[in-house]
Amino acid sequence: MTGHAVDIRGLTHHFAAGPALRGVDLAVPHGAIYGFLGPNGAGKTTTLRLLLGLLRRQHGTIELFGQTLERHRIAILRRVGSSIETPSVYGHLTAVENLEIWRRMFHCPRRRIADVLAIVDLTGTGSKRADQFSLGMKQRLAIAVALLHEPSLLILDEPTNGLDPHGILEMRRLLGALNREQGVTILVSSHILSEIERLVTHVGVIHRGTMRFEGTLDALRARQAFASITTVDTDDNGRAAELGRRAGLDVRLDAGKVTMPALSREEAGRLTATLSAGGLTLYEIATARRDLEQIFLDLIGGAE
Amino acid sequence: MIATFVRVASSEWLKRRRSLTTWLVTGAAAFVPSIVFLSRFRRLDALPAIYQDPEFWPRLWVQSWEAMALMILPLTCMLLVSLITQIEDRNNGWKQMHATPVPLASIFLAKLAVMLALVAELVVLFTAAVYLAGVLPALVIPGVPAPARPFPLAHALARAAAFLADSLPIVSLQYLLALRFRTFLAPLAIGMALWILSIGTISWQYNYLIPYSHAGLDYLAVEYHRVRPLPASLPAIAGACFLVFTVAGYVMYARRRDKG
Repeated sequence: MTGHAVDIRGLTHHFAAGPALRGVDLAVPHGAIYGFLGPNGAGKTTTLRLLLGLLRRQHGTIELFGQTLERHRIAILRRVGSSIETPSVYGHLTAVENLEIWRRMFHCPRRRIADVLAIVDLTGTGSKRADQFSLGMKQRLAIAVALLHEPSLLILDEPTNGLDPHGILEMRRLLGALNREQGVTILVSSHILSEIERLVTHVGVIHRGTMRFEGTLDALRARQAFASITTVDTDDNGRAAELGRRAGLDVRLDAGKVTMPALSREEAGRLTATLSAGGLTLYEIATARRDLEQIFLDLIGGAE
Repeated sequence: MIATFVRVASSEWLKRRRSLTTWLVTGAAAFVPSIVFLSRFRRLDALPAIYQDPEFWPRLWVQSWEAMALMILPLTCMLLVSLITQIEDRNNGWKQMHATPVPLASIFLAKLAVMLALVAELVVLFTAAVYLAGVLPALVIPGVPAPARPFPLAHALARAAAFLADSLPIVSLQYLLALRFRTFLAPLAIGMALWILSIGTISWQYNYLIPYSHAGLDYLAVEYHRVRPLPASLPAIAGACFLVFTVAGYVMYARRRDKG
């Protein structure tokens, strides 16, 4: 068994219309909340469908819990709960009837129905048919279905689609609690970083069928620091650059101004003192911080 | 495997709750007997003689099964299969089904079992409705005696079982088409075209090759003694067709690249 709940290597998939995935590598550590990010059409859903065996694998390897789906489909799916794209909810049935259908499929005790309804806060829906539910309620019912058999891996495709801000917050709380309290590994896709930024521990960014980034959220934040810049403008920027280099900074001259990776407050203070001691007049020192959303847009090659 | 199949089949049976299938089965079973019952009121003076006829039940049986065997049974089979498979298509259910720890064979066979159970329910309800259409006038219309002879239950059940067997290939072929096209209308349209073809070629010696004709051929052979040479008995032909379509349907279903 590998150290990963999900391990995908070199996954390539073609549809009749063209390639959807080109050599995707993706690894979800046990116990992680993995945010699978990318714009619409990037290949997120195709990857997740391949992961669950809903599409036939063409090239590459897919392992869940160190086993392949081709050889251990039943054993693997016993440990996986999923909701892909539009919620699979039988509109002519109530929430309890929907769950009873899947309870029989998963062969789990009847008490689980009340348990998962409480988890997703749908206990009071009574005889209301699912086609009368809001989209948010349908999303929560789909998650209840995915949780019914107490899976150790939850795969959710854009679970916040169609939810209002309060619903997104609730979903985040729910997934965080499942991960913290029950140790469920979660692979959740989204096309909006800010929706899952406060939830995930690991991030994978996919665009046009290729992975643009994979790592911890901290690693992505490190990129944020790296991508932010400090700009300095003095009465002699050439000399300012020279003084900066002597102070050990990675300084460049860009459009007549001195630029460098973002400085902390203390570093900015030291640089200001150095420039003054060198007899330079400081006109401006400013740091432009790039947020994660901009990093994400950079990774996917700018706004779509 | 059997325990899993039973679990999945019970889950499938639950899905048809509050769907149109119950109304369809009840309506199709009651349609002809209701018309027979209401037609009794047209000639009240003739009813005592009709009910005293020793051939009352055979006549009623032949009269009732004519439209059923030739038209209502094949059409209802087509609609039932489309309604059952449409439950998954309409509710995005296939992908969730295929992500459960259940063998594909259990899913495929459980759906087929539900379809067959509904057709069996239709045939049993129809038999009961024919009986009611026979006895009710004697109970509600003054002066009309009870039928001279008892209801031939054993014969009725045997014939109902034969018509059920005749319907098996329709169910399995429609199921195959529904899995192939995953829409409500396409399998129905193909089924209707084949059914019309079977009616149009009813006198053709190879008409038995069209599975939609089996109930009609059975009806004509038994009730009107229009027996034609066949390579095997009609139930055997229907059984063979059912087997072929079921295996072909499963292979197509299991090998499908896109499962949801």
